[in-house]
Amino acid sequence: MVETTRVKGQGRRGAGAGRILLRVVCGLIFAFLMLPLLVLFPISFSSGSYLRFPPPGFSLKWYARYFDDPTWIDATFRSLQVGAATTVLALLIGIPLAFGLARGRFRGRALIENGISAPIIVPHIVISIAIYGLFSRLGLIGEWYGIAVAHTVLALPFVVIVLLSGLRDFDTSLELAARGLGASPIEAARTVTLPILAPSVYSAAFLAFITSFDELVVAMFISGANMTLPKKMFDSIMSEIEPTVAAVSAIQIVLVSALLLLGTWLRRPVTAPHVR
Amino acid sequence: MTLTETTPSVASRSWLRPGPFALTLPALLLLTLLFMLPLLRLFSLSFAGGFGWYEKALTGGLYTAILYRTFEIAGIVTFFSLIIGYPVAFLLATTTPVWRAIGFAFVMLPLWTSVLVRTYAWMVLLGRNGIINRLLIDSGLLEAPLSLLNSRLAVILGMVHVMLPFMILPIYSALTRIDPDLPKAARGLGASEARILTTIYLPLALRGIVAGVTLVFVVSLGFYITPALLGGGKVMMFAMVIEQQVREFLAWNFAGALSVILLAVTLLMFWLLNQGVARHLRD
Amino acid sequence: MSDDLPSSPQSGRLQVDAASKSFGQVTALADVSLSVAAGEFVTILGPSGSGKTTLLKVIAGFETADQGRILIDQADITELDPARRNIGMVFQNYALFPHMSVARNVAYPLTMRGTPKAEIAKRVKEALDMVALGGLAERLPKQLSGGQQQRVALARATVFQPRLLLLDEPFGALDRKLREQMQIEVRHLQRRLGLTTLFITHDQEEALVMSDRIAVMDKGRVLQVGPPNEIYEAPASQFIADFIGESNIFAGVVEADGGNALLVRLERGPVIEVGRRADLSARPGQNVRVMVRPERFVDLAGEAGSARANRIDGRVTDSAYIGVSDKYRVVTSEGLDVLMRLPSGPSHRRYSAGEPIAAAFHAADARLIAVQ
Repeated sequence: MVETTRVKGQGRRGAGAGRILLRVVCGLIFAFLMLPLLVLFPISFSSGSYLRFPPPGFSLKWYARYFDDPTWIDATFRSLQVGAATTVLALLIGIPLAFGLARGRFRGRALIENGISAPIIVPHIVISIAIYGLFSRLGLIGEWYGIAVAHTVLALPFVVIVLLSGLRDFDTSLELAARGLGASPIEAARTVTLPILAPSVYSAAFLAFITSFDELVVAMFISGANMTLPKKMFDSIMSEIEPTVAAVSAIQIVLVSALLLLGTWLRRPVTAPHVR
Repeated sequence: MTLTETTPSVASRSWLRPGPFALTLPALLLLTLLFMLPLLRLFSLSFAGGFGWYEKALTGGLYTAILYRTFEIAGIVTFFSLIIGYPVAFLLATTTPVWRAIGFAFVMLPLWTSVLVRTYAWMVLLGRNGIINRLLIDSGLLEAPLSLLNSRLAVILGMVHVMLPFMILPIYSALTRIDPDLPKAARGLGASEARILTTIYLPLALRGIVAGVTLVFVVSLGFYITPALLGGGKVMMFAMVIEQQVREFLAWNFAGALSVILLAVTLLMFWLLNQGVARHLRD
Repeated sequence: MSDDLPSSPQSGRLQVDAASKSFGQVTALADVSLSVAAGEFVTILGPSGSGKTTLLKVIAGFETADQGRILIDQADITELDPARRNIGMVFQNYALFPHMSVARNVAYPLTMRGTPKAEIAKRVKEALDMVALGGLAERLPKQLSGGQQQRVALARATVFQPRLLLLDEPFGALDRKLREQMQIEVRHLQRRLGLTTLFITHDQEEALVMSDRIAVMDKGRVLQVGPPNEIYEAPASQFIADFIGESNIFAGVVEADGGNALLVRLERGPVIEVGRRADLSARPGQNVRVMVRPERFVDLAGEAGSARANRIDGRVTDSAYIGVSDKYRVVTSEGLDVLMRLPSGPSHRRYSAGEPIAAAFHAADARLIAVQ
């Protein structure tokens, strides 16, 4: 059944009533997505001690609380340390893995490729207590490198997924061309393969870092007295109502936004538009 | 053959790194030691002294009820994520590059903000003195603030908010693989936008929908943070029970049994969702 | 074997000696031998799966032959690293480095060889001028058209004065007009540089147009090597006759040896005169196959009753106008199916389906193709 009367308004994209409705609905959904995040900002500047809205006055004291408190700063530093270690480890393990899966042809390849996603499917809580059990046996509770290794397990699937995607899009004839033109294997990798794969590697690194930096449940169990930032925030939420956490959250949101903008800016077209 | 197909002889004496399998070894080692091993340990703990722990978990109705409720919530969250997420994925897939980038920012920013921060934001929103209550009271619709927090509603709202990007991205990915000439042809035949959405995009996007639904459901089953904070103890999801058993009671064997049950259920749902729809697609 | 192959303005002589290569059960190359003189343009022609790509890979060094040798100017390069062979190659998809400008792409082989910067700049400019891309040095490959990208690939493959140039079906992605233009340009460039060139294609017309010699391959073997007209007029086997151009292949029995020509009674037709072949003899009584190219037929319109040798009378079942000629499918009363191409145009008669037609060919145009 064709509604021929609607054709008139739909010559081009965006002209139809249905299209406008879609945009309005999506606008609302975007608002829904952003609203909670935006709400944190006024709270973080509140001069009151409770989570009151609207905030009674403007104050930077919660930010001051954060920067002046050594435990907060320690926790932040710990998360950065663990995050960096996780990123390095995940890349060191994930890059060869991705190459092996993308270019190799050996028995069990498909099995490994599917199996890599296992940490995503197994419930987070289950992995967390399993690792906690093992670590408490081994006396690894509270050690930052222990957390990093545990986080690497969680970050690896994401790293591999991103790298595999980049590798599969990569035209291997480019490497052959480089070799034929006189490049040694290392030179070919350095001048052709890596520069082209760089965006994938950056994405994978970013994902690994974020996965670790934001991770709470594993850290909750095994970070012990040397807390990560999410653990400290969680404790703070459970025990106090004061909005220091809001300030910390606001800072995180700003940082992530900055990274997003940076990423978009880096991916802008580099030279003059396509000429035919 | 094409010039770039690798062949067995190439691997042996060539510039490609020797033995692609060897490249996977560090990863396999890591996963074996820090993934399989801990899980197996937990698994064996759960069977200490026979099936007693499983009996305790599965009889008596308490834990099965929580499991059922967890299922329910996961299902509701998945459902709402789907009907809210699909239009967004559709819009992103069919709009101009500029708007697409902007839309993506709206999706990516929450995705990269930690779950904890997002959940906390909902605590602020839904609290007695939060925005929603404030708005309702100030506008005169309410006298006393609603207790929105510590409720099922809060948990569902929070979880949908968290899961939405996980639903949107796979669907978007599937939609962008659809041949753009198809909707053009349909438009030329006079189909309305809504019709195009349901009769062309929907079936072809099914693969992405299955991926999104599977991901959201499976992650929701095992979710801890959001229910713990927004449910305040009143809404127990299975992950919270497991956490409690470990942290509060140090009941490792029992927690092990509960974990195995949760894992089994998760894997079952994962398999069902993939198989069931695959069979449906074949028809 | 350990030194780089020298690169000099003098182009190299290529020799493939009994090269064989298998992948598991599949034989890609079976005892392939080929010689290419310095400065010669040889095309490897064959259908998909004929082994031509494998041969190219083995010469370039991306694969190693199981048996046999590859020699350039008598130097054995069979086991030599591809990076040290100094062979220029143009890939099917051009393989231009997307993250480098045109200039950097062309400079790449020189950079890899440690050429000084000033020298690089000079030679890159020369190479780009030679392919008429002078002004596009700073563009990225994705900003160029297909034909332009191809020229960059050519410049990059020749800038370092290789001994040998390999081209792997480079014109596949271009439209016909552009393809023909590039065929001419590549040939000009090759002659100008005096570069020994090996060209791979499955397009027989392209092979005929461009080559000094053609090597026809199928199923891993070289079936025939020779100049284009030899391959076309005197194909060594039915496969080659079928693969190159169009042909009629008639089955028949040798009736008598008529001195200058053999008399062959066709299975479904008259007795025809077939030119002798020095290298293939047939005695009366033997079954043979005879090839006649469609364009060798001469329209006998107007010579109604003439008793011409090799005359075919039949009815047109299909006709097509190709611009340069009229193509007809003709069936004789005895059921012989013949393909003919007659010149078209206002001065020639055009036949439609169902009309009777009579045409003939010279004995010299009938070639003995196979003897059982």
